[in-house]
Amino acid sequence: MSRVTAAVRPLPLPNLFWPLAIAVLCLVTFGALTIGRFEIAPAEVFVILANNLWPMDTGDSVAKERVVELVRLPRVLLALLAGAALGVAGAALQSLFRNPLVGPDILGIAPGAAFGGALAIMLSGNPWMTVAGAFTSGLAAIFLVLMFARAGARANSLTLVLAGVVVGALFSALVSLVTFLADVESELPAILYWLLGSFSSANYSKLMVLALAVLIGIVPVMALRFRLNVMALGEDEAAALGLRVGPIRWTILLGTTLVVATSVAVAGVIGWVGLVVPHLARMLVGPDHRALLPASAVLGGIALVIVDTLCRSLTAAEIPLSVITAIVGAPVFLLLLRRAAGTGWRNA
Amino acid sequence: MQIQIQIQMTSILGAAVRRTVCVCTVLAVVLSARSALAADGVLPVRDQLGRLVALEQPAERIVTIPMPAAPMLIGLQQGVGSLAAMHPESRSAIRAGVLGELFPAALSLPTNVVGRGFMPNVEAVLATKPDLVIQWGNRGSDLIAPLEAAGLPVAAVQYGGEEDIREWLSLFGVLTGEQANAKRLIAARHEALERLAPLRRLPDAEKPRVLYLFRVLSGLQVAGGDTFNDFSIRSAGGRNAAADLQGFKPVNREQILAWNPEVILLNSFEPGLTPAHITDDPVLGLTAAAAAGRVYQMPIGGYRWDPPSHESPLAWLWLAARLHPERLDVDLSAQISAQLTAIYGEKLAPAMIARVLGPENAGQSGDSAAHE
Repeated sequence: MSRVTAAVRPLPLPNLFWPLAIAVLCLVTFGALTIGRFEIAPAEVFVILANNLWPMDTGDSVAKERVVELVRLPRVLLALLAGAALGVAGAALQSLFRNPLVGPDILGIAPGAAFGGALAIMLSGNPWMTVAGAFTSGLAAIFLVLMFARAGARANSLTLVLAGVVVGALFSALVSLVTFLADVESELPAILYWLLGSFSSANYSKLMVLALAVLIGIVPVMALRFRLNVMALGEDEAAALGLRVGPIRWTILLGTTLVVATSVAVAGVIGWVGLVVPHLARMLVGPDHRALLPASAVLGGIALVIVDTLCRSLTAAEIPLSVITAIVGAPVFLLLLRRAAGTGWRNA
Repeated sequence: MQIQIQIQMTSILGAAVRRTVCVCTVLAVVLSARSALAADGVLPVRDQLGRLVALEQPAERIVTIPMPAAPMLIGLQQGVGSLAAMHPESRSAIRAGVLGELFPAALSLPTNVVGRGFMPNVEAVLATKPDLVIQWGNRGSDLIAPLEAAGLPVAAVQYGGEEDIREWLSLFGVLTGEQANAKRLIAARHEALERLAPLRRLPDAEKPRVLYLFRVLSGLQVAGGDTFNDFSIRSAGGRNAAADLQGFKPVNREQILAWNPEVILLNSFEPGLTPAHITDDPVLGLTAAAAAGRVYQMPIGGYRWDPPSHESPLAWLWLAARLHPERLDVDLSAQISAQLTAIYGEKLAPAMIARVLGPENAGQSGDSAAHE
């Protein structure tokens, strides 16, 4: 058996995980819809939602209906989808590169997407162009990372992470250049606000865009779950076992880049989720990717919905997402590193 | 006191000593009079950072970098006067407001003297041959040091509230030799606040909840309790719905609906922003303000009325008329026209006043091309 699967043990009672996880997901989602700065009772939220399926008496509060359906619902769903996508992307990337420190932000995809999106906002302002720009430059970033990392004979993980940090720094500098060149009155405030990361401008068209990206990007990655188990043995062994390593790697890279870039395009840069959630999922269900990827999706969705609800409800002013994801994510990550120290991860 | 001492001393001491004492006394009188006058507003004068501005005569060519400074100088001098160059945003505001029509010469002044973030382009500044530069003092010494290194006198000002604008006015008055106009403008502010005092004394229940939206199109941001917009709202007899926040903060639509303001004020500088952005929004359109049609865009007179400026008395009057229309029985057009004429010394055409106060008020400069 591979050293990876043997060394990291899942918690006991893994069969309870899925019912529990789905239940928590539903609870958290509904709870998020009832929480907010505008007073709405949970029963009223339920009635408003149910009214869409079969007619019920919602009372005459148009305001409550619109707050639930136009402000909270798209936002919660967007957070759910983005969290799930980032969780899966993080897990897939960590397995692909066989490196626990890897995540969409460390590998430079997120800063790369930020540059493309900022450039698109400056040049056009069309939301579709922002998505396209974010995707293209996210892809460019990951290509650069692979080029740098393969400068030597083998791409070992340290080189990979270093290359990711360097490329990330490069694209962050390019983002600064874009903010320098942007028109101070119209383009710059839009770019800066977008970069901070927020779901506050969530609407159904952004939800559609992300859903499309997830469909195109994550579904193939999910389909390759078992093959990721084999890839964990190392590329040479996987190839020897008959796996077509090249196409698998490209599918995963392209798919994860698409969803990360799209989530950056609709919600700005969200750090830590892609890095921490896969570790949590691995603790709960083990390293078998057939369970790990869906578990990362569920946990990522739950995490980001909770974070976004905090950001929009704790104070009258909106807290940027990156503040809370960093405050929570960094200590959790350190804890996980301590727990997993010396077990399991062998970097070939 | 000094004269009594002198008489006693002449009766006691000899002639030579008397002569020395005379000279010393004269010197003392002159020096004490001089320091009293400097406090009164005579060059050389201290700027808002407490630095002595190296100017012996009123300036004849001034470069202004803070955005409200150029229109303020035009107001003090009732013409372009010694204004030699300004910030490109100042020119956008001048073009969008009435000063572009009253003083067309202002539109052809150079604006290339400033780079990104109020950083002075020293060579461009020197090319205009100024004898004074007005610059922000509370944004770091990097903005001032290059100018001083080039040998230019710099007067530094701070961004703040009502007290700061009064200091700006007296400082600029001394620097341009227009102390009388400066006093007049400061007195006008005092009079305006006094006139609106009855509105401030109303019980809270009769003061409408007002929300100023600092940004709308690139994310909703409101002005908190320590901003000048809060001061303006309170001066005009309103209550700031966002008073619990500090500075300019992002909020979501749900929070605005929860505050349910009775009046919404839109900023004057986002291009393309109109009240329809609020009234047509499915969530913001449900606020009391949108339902009653009380969504107003901050006007531009000679300069924008949102931030602290020399036209704040007009802004307060306009706002009070919007907040308490039944209590303030005033012909707003006539009043605004009269006050603008008093500031700038020029008669304003009715079309200009209509543009300042009208619903399709030119709050947006739309002049991104003004950045040259």
